Amino acid sequence: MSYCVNCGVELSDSAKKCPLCDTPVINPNALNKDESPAFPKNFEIPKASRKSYIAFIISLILLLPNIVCVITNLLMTPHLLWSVYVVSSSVLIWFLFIFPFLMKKSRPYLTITADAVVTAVFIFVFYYYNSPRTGWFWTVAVPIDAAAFITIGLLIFYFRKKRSLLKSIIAYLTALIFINIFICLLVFFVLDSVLITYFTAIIAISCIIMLVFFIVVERNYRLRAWLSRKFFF
Amino acid sequence: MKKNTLTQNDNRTWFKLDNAAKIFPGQNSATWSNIIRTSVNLKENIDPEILSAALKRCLPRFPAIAVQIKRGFFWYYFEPNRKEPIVKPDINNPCVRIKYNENNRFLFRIFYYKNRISLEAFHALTDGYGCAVFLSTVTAEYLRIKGYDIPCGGMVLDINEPPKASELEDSFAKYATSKVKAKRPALPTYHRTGEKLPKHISIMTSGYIPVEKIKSISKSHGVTITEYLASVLVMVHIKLQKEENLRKQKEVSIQIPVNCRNLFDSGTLRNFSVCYSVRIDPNLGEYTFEEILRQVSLYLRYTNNKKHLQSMFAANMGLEKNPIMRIIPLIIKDLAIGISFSLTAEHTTTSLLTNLGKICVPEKMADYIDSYIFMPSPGKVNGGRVGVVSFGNTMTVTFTNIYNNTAIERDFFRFLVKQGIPVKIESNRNL
Repeated sequence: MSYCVNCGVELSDSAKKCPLCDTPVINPNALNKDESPAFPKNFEIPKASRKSYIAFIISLILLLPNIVCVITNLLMTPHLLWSVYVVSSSVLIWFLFIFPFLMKKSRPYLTITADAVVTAVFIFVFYYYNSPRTGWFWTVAVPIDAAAFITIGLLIFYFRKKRSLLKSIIAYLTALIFINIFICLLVFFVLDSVLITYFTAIIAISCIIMLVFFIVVERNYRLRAWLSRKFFF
Repeated sequence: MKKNTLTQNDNRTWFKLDNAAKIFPGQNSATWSNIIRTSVNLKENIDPEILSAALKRCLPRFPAIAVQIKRGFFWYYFEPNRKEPIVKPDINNPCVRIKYNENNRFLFRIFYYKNRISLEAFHALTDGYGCAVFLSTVTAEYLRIKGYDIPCGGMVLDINEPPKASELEDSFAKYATSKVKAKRPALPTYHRTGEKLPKHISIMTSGYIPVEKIKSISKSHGVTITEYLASVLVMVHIKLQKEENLRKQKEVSIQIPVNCRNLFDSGTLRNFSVCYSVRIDPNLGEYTFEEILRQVSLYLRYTNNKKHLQSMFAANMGLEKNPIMRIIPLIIKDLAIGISFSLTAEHTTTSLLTNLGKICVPEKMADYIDSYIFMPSPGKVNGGRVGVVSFGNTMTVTFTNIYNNTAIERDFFRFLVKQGIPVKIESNRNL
C-alpha cells in the first residue's frame, strides 16, 4: 500500500507512478511488487471502415450511366460519337476524386501524375472531336496542364513539413505567380492574344506586390511585432 | 436452452428502438462510441467458462438486451439474437466503438480480468440502470453456478420467470404527455483542450471512496452526493479555464443524467433517463466553492420535477413523431444526426457526471462482491466524463478522458483528499 507524495491518494500495489501526476512511487518497504496491473496491456482497435470499399461502390454506380450511354450511342446513332464526352468526363471525375481512395497508402506524386495525364487526355478528346485542329492542344493545353500539375507537385513537396501561416501564404502566392507568368508568356508568344496576356499579367503583378510585402514581414521580426501592436483587435 | 424462449415469452419478433436510443446508431463513429461500461469486482478470480454459462442462462430473461440491430428503410430496429454470446478477456482501452456485425452481432460485450467482470453495452440498448441490473443478474447466476446460494431481489432478477412486458416498454412514449416542449440549451461552453490520445484509446481513472465519509461531508454542506461531486467538477473546470488565460471565459456546464424510474412508475430495462445541464458562468465573477455548491444544488432541486421532465420527454418525442422526420430515409437521417451532433451535443456541455446510485443486491450476494465500477462513454470533445456508483461502503468515481492530460482527475481527487476523504486510485494508464 503506497500513497502518492504529491496527491495524497492511495495507489494500487502495481502502480509504479501516480496515474494522476506521474510522480514515481518509491516505497522502500515494498520493492518486490508482483501484483499485476489493474488493466491488461493488450489493446483492441476496431478496423476502420474501408474507404476503398466505398470508393469501389461509387465507381460501380458511376459505371452504370456510362455503359447505358455507350450502348445507346452505338445502337441509335453509330455515326455520331457523343458518348465519348460522357465517358471522358466520368474518367476524369473518377481519377480526380475516387482513384486516391482506392489506394491503400496515399501516394501524392503518383496521383498527381495520373491526374495530369488524364486531364490532358480529357482536353484532347474535346480537341479531337469538337474543335478546328489548329494544334492548340500541343502548343497551349499540354504546357499549361504540365505547368499546373508540376506546381501542385512542388507545393505538396514543400508542405510535407508543417509550415507557418506566413510561409504558406508566400508559397501559394509564388505558385500563383509562376502559373500566371507562364500562361502570360505562352499566350503572348503562341496565340498573340493580348486580352489574356493583360489579364494574367495583372494577376501576376498584384500577386508579386503582395508577395514582396509578405516576404518582408516574414523576414523582419521587428516589423511583425510593430504590425501586431498597431493592428491588434 | 430452448431455441424459441424469446418468442414463447414475448411474441414480438422485432422491437423499435426507444426514443432516447434512436439517436445513438446515427452517432456511432470511430471517435464517439456511446458505450457505457459497468464492472463488478468480486472477491475471487473469474472463471471464464462459468461466466459464459451464466451469461447464456441469463440472456433469455433480457429480450431487450439479447438483440441485434438492423437497418430498416426509415429507422433502425432490433431483432432477437439467438447466437452464442461471447466472453472475452479484458482489454486496456475500454468503451471502444461497437460494430454491428462483430461479436456475433450482440450490442454488448462481457469481459473478465482477474476478479472483475465488465459489461460494455451500446447506449441504444439500455442506460446505466439497465446495465447494472443485467450485470448483477449475470453475476448472481455466476455465483450460483460456483455453488453459492444466492437469492433473487433488488437488482438481481429471477431468470426462471418470463420477462415482463413492462420491462420492454418505451417509457418515454408513455410519459411524454406534456403540451410544452422544453428548449435545449445551445450555448457554446468551455472544453478542456490538449493533445488527444489516438483514436479508440482513452484514459480511465477510478477513485474508490468510502461512502460514509463523502455522505457526511456533503450532509454537512446540506447537499446530496451528486450535487457535491458535480460542484467539485464545476470548480475544477472553472479553475482550469482560468489558468488558460482566455480573454473571455466561457460557461461551464455539467450534464447530469437523471434516472426517471425514481419519479415515474416504470420498470423498464431500456433507456429511461434524460440529462439536466447545470451551468455556471465564470464571467459573473469569482465563485467560491460554497457558492458553486449552492448554485448547483438549488438549480437541480428547482428543475428536477415530474413536470419539467415530461416537457423534456415531449420535446424528444416531438422530434420522433414529426412527420417530416419519419419520412426521411434512414441513410439521410444518419447523416443529419451525425452532422448535427458533431456541431451541437457535446459542444454545449463541458462534461458529464452520471450517478448510478446505490447498487442493491441480496445480502447473501453482497458478501462475494467487493465493489462496482461505472463509467460513461468517452466524449468526443469533453475531457473528463465521470461515472459514479456506490456499493456497500465503497463509492467508485470513474473518469474517462480522451486527452493525454489528467489535470481534471488530478485536481478533482486532490480536492477530495484535502477535504479529508481518503481516495484509492486505479487506472489503465501504462506508466
